[in-house]
Amino acid sequence: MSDSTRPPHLSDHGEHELPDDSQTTPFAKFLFGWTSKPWTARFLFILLGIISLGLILAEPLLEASAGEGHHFRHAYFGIDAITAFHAWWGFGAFTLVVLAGWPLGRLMRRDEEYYKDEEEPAGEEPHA
Amino acid sequence: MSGFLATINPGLILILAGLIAGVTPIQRVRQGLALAAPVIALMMLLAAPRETDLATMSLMGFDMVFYHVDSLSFIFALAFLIAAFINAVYALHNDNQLEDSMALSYMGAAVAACFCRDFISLFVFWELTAVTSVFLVFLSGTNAAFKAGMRYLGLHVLSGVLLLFGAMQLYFDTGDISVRQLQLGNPGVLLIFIALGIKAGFPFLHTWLADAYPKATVTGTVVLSAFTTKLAIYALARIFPGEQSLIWIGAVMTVYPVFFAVVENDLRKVLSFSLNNQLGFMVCAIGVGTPLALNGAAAHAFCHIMYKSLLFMSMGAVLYRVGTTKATELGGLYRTMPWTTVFCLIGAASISAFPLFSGFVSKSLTMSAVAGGGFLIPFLMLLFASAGVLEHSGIKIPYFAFFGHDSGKRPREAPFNMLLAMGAAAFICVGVGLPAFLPGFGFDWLYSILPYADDPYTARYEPYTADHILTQMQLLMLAVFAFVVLQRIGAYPPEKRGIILDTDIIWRKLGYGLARWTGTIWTKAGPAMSGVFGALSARAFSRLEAAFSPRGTLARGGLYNGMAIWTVVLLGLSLLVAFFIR
Repeated sequence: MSDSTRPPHLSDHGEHELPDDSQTTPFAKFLFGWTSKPWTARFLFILLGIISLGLILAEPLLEASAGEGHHFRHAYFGIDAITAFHAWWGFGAFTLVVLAGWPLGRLMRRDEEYYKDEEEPAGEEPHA
Repeated sequence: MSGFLATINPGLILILAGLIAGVTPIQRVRQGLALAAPVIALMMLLAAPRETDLATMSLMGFDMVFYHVDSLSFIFALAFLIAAFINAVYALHNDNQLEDSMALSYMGAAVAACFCRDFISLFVFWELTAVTSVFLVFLSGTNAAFKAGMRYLGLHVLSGVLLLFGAMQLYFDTGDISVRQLQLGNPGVLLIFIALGIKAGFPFLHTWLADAYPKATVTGTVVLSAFTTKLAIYALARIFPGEQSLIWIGAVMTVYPVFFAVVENDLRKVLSFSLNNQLGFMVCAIGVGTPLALNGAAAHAFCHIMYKSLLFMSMGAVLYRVGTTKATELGGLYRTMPWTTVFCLIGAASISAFPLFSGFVSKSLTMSAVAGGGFLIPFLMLLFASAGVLEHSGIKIPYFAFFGHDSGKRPREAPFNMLLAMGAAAFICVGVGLPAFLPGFGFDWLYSILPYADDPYTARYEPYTADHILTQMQLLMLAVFAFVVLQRIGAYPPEKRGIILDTDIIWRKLGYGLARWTGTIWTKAGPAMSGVFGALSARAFSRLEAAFSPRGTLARGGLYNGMAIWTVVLLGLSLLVAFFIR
């Protein structure tokens, strides 16, 4: 399986494989070590789901607490007066952009030697 | 400050430092010049009196103003000089005489251009930015960089030529060469508009940006990202504030790079598309043209210079240590580059406009101005693009470089000078974005240096309201949630090697093909045509020789009578023609 299609932390046999952390610095482990744990993806999914739900529900609650005749949120147009409009717009826009990547990739991606008069730089000599 | 020093445009200090660096082989001296020049220039700027012509000259009847500071030029020059200092720190490890010289001259030209109040001196520095910056692309040393540099140079020299032609046309029409607010309608003004559009990356004129920037040197890309395009934004804010077409041009600029960025594999190219997208916000705000909107454009430019430099610096550090910035070859670098990861995340949070970061306090002004102006569709496009920014710069850049699947690469952390420069930029990104706990602290400092700081609406504008924070967090967190969902269900497109076609295919493929075809046709048709012309001219010569040579028909006198008659006829015709013409 090529690197481009390999899902995170899966070996060629499809088994979960923990990356080699022998060279990971203590500072990196402290700050970001949790990101390479097997439970990270599920944890983030649940956490972000709860946060998103909270942000959506917060709006009607704050609107109600603003009192009769007052608005918590200032809407400039009709459409942005919809409850949690920014949440729906953000989710929809992000999803559209990402899903558009599939057809756009097929349509616009070409081999790196497509412009035959020049080859794309293969990279620099790393200063390791 | 002494009288003489007060008349020197601070940009010239950097240009002078660049000239000296060009002939100085000792690296320590060049490092000193690169660090000292922005500091001296900054002190000169802070001491300069505002709203007065500090250096003028009359040349061939043109009244030229080299140095005039006002609140608009001040904030752009300030951002340029801070960026120049940070770039100098970032490039301290770099021992390249030509690169040091060109980078200093380029930064100086951009600073100097901010203070020019006539089109001729603006043109001089405008072109100087082009011819110096192209070396930062060339110095990568690859064939691809050379070709991209030539395309970059071609478009930027064209921009300068259009600027000069437009200014001359305007001068002939109005007798005024000063840089001032203009209205579209005059052909000269249109040329100036297009000249600015090339440098600002207007749609279809933008391709140089994603073509050249990713191919420049590690330090060169960081330098390039801060100056050229923001100089164009400054010029647009100066010359075309309130030009309504800019609202739509800007809105389109925010949206389309998002789609290019999502499928691009080279992360420095992703950042170039992202740069184009951010310029769209500024262009749109300039089009709205209210004091609040122009403040938004200037604030956005200031913050953008800092966080975009920071992101390019982090990717530069990756390129320096790993040798590539292709997403397919990266991943898991946080393990050995944690500081670079932290700084990249701060840049990502800033450009995504998370509260407590600089993008939030600058973008809020623009969004409020566009919505307050009643521009619904552009507002929705900008909101869409805000989610797009989060996708490519907020998530894609840090995720694929530092997290994601483990590439197995374990490079060393970036050199200390690079970390120091990234730390300084990160400090500004956070410092400017904080709430104003005290007067002059956090965003209040940024708002106090805006071009229309005394505008009543800006003066009482508060970005940290519960309304702003909640709506922005809804937009961003739901977008992040969408990313996690799409990753879990396998709907996120995998990164793949390859190049992404852009509108420059028109000249890189079709134009190049047409030029080659024309060349082929000419090589075949040329000899045949020259053969035909040769035969025709030989025949004409032999006829003329037969008539006029010493042994020719006329010399033999055979047509003497006829010649007399024809001479009379021709003279008569000449008289008639002369009579009627008179």
